[in-house]
Amino acid sequence: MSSSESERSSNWFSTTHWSVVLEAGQTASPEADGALSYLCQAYWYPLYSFVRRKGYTIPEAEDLTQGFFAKFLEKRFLRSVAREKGKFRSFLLAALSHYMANEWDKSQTLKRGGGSIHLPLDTVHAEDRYAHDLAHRPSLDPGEAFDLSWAETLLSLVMERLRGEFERGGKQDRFGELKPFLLGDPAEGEYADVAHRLNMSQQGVKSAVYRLRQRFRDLVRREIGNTVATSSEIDDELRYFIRLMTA
Amino acid sequence: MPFEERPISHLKHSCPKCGEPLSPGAAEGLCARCLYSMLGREPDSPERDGDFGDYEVLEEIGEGGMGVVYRAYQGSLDRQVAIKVIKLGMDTRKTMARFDTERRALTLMDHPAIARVLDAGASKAGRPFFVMELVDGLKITDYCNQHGYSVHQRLDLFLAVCAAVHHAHQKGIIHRDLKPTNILVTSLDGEPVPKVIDFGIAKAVGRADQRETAFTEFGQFIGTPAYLSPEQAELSGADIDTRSDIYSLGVVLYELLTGCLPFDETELASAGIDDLRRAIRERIPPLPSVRLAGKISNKLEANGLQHGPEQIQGDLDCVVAKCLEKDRSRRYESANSLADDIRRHLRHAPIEARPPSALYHFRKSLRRNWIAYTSAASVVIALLLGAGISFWQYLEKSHAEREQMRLRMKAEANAYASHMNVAKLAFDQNDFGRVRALLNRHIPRGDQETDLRDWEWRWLWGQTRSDAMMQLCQRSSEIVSLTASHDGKWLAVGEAERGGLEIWDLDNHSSPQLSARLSEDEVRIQAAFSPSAPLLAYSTFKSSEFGIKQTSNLRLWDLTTGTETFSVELEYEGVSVVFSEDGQRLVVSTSHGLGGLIVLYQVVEGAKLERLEQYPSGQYGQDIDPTGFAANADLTAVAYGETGVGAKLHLIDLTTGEERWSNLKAAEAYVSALAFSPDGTTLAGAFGPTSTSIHLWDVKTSKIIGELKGHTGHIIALKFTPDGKQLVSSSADRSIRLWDRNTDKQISQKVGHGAAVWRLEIMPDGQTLYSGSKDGTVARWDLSVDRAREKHKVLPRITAWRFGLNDHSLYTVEEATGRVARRYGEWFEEMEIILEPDPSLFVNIGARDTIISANAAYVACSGRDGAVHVWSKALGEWISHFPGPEGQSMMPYGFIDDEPLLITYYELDYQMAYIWDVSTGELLRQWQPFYPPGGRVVGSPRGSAVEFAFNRDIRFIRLSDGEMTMRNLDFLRAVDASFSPDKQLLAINSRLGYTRIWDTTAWRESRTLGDIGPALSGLCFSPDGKRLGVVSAADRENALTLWAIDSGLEVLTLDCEGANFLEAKFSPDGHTLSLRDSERNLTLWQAPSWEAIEAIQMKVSGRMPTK
Repeated sequence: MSSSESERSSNWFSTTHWSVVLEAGQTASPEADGALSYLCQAYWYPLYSFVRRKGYTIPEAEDLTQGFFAKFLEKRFLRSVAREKGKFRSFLLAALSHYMANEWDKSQTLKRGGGSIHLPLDTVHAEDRYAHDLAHRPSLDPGEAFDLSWAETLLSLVMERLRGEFERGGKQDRFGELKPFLLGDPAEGEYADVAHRLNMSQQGVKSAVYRLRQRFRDLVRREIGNTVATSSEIDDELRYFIRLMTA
Repeated sequence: MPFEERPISHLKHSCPKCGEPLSPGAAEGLCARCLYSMLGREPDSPERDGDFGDYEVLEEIGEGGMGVVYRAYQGSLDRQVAIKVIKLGMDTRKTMARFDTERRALTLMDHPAIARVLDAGASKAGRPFFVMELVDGLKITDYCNQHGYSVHQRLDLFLAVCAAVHHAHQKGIIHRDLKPTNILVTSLDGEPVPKVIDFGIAKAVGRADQRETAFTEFGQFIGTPAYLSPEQAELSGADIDTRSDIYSLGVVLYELLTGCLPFDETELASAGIDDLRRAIRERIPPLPSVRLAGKISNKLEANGLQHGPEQIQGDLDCVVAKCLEKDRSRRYESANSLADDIRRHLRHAPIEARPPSALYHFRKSLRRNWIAYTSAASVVIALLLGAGISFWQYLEKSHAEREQMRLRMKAEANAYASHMNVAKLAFDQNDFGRVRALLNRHIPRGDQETDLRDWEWRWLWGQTRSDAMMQLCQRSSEIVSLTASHDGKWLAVGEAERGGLEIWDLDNHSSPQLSARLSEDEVRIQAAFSPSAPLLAYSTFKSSEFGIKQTSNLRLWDLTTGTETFSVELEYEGVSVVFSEDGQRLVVSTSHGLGGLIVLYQVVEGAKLERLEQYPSGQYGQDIDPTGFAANADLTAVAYGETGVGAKLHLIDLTTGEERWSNLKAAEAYVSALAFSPDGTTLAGAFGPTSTSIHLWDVKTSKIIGELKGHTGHIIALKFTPDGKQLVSSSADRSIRLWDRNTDKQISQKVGHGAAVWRLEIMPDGQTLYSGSKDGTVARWDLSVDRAREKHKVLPRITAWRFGLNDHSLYTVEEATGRVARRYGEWFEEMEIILEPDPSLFVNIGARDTIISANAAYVACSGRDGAVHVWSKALGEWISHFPGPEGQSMMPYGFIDDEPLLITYYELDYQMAYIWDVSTGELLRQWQPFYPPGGRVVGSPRGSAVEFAFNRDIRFIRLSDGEMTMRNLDFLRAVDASFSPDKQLLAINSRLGYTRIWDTTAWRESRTLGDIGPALSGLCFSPDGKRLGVVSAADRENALTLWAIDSGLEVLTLDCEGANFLEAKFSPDGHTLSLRDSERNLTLWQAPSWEAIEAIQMKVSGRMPTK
């Protein structure tokens, strides 16, 4: 069964994370909790960079991001979100903005976190990344920066999964060799080199590259699907990121 | 963790492809930019199944009779298109061949409402497909239902479709498969744009195939044959032409107007193919209006239809019927002629489809003319209908007459409004007579006149209601004398012009009789009854033509025999006649205009008079005119006033003829009234024409011992009560006032006369008072009764209130305690507690902490536990509680209209609102409200809750299924909104200072009241729907303004103590108006009902009132 067909089967979409969360709506469910947890852990960096771009210091940004997630997950804001709400990305940013405007100042004097939920956020590495982003793209407004880092984070998730798939099949070497071809077409003779190193035929390498690209594209669509509400939005989101990143 | 460990060297790397430095977060060391760039490229894959070349299939969007429709991406042109992939099993070659012939024609079609067919081809697997413009819209029927379209709007949309179909027909393309799924509507800039899709495909696919498609699929596929024309349903048939599309259009129109198909779907489903064909060919479907009426009477869902059968009946029935004619020669020949007929209907012109008849044409022309008039002035229709003039009568008149009538009605409405406003001003100045005069001008006389009166008229009437117990008589000119016999049995009334002196027999209090009329040809008769004998003394005056000869007489009348016993001529006209207490002597004051005489008589033999003395008044020989005259009980002193330089009061000792003292008021012109106290020690008097106070002198010392202030016009008559403890005064301000001599303060005020009160007479019982007015009326009053005249009443500390639905009662919620009480009594002064929520459990600070439903059947309270608790009056216990989501308090917002439907919301930021049916405890609907919140959520005509945003948007939430539709109206900063009682009108108050009203059938703005100005707050319709009360937030003088909706004019403004006025309500019986301010004071005004007014008027005047 090709990936596009599986994608199109309705079963798949209903299990994507954002759909699960939306489906759960008001009722608490471990699936929804898990899905939401995953989403938050996966996409926290864009939030962090947004806060930093807004001008908060490192400790403030840490505190704010932590506080936001704690409140976000505890308060179950999502219960009020209707199914048509669209993308998790926009929703998260809106909720964060709201939080920054209303809540965070108030909570400054209160105990940090306010609850038991405490996400393990790696702010050290985040700062490295942020510093790099800031240095190379200083004039972005926080919203654009948010979307860009979101797009990058998305890729990281996908690549991790892709690597995982190869590793499970014991084919991590192959992954390492083939992955540069995700960037574009090979130069003259590159296929031959790789074929040699992997002990495969050139045609085999070609097919493998083709399949890798397909799988990559599928996983990207799946991951986007995790963060939108209807399958028709996947294309829009992907096209948006492409435009954003290649501008 | 999203990040892997990676060597630090990565930080220094850049991408081999694009050269961009790699971010520390770059996954797998790959450049994000290049990865996305790759994703943007279209993959080229020979291994893909179902490939359509340049088109990448994205997802399935529908299934039709002929195949599946996908959304696809056309790489070469970077656009999305629709691809219809024809089912396998159809002959591809033939299909493609047929399509080719059509193709050229198809490419010539260029119409905004037709989805273009762009291309055709075959997939790698050999399946033929067509590429069409992607239309992302709703089926036309769904679109109209979701947007709550009226008949007019649906027809407009349908006309656009007809235009498209006509365009195609002219190019020789017949659709053959017209149905709502092929007519999609999208929104562009808020405007609906219809698009017909699938043109030409049916023909390309082939007649035979299509027929097979329709029938073999029947029961298995979604498409129904319901749209097939009879000729298409034939197995061996004639050629299909454009009229087949007309039939299908007729079916679509049928569905748009009724929400269902001409033939019952379930019937069709169970029929076999042959029966089906026969059904389509032979059965006549019910007319759309009949079908719709049937649906409604069977209580089937209206399905988004906002109209009733009456709007379809007639013209539209015929248009649809003509489309659905079995014999195609009887149908419209073209989509254009169908569209023309619809347009004729919209213009109210006769349509082609109707069988012509004189009556039909006649009715049409009437309707067209009527519209012309109403568009000129919408005031006319409203006034017309209120006037009771029949529409036919109106039309019978000529155009000029009608125009005149319209102008006159407008003028009447203006006059009424301005009179009511002036009347209110007069009321504020205590000029009750003026108020009544203005009110009386608008009592309609006869059937022809329009009745513009409403609450404001009734309230003003109630406030200036006559205190008189009854009206004795109505003479034709001013009452100049009024005197009663000492046993209270007789009353003599003299008037200024002809008519003589009327003697009334008062033995029977409830119906006095006119006993005699004396000296009918004489005027200005002054009279006095003897205290000791049944004798009446009176002076008369008669002047010949041109006033050359003037005679004045003094006569005596015997009451027992009814005959005159004595008559003597007087030198001058008698101004006042007074008997002494013992009835032995008589004093007459006479005047010739430049001076006068005071004459003293002796009563002789009980029947004659003998002159004793005379004293000149105006003894100084100057131009003086004696006015005002009073004598003490034993006739030892008289007082009179002089007119000259200023007003001079003289006190004369009648025993000596000497003047004891005098008092000059230089600023005035005359002494207007005088009276001795019964014990003779005090003289009360007043000056005119401007002074409004009553002066009291000590007779002996001439010192002023008191001044009574209160009247607003000059004093005309003064009388002491027999015990001397009270003084009664009457004035040009039309009122009669009672004063306490101990405190010199006004005890009470009596109103009812419509003109200045000239004469007073207190009966021997000291309680009954008669008064005579400038307008010729004589009225009787009870001095002991002081009818409390409540202008308004204030109930303090009320946070919420509702009037009882069926009786004169008021349900209130008390501040701080949250106690719910039912109040009754005339001014709701009596109270019974219905519910006392425990303050440890419930919060009761804000206006929305305790909410009551109609008749307090249910009470919703804010619990300290963060939930809303509901109490049922019927069960006497708490029946439900609705908690908020964790950490948030749920707050009650209000009940929708009089229904047991409660709205609650989150405490903090209005994230979510809920509607509960408290009678069952179930949650009906929830939605995310507008933010910032605008006006109220109210019930609307069609079973929806209506929510108003702060600006422009209103949302209908249908309670039955939660369907939400939005509407955009021109308003800003809404603060309150309400539908009229019949739900025909919607009014919204803006904080900017105006009120806007819409008609809810066509959603057209009807009028705007007021202008940008001080902020408004609440509003309320009167129960009769003719008045709208508008609350001005901060203006005490104009706290509540009443508008006449028909004419758009203000008719009353009520002032009120308090500040920050918020909410106003009418009671359902239309009598009470209430207003609450932020201090939680509830002010109430009450107006009597028409029945009460009629009853009181009848009682007072003793005859049928003119209304």
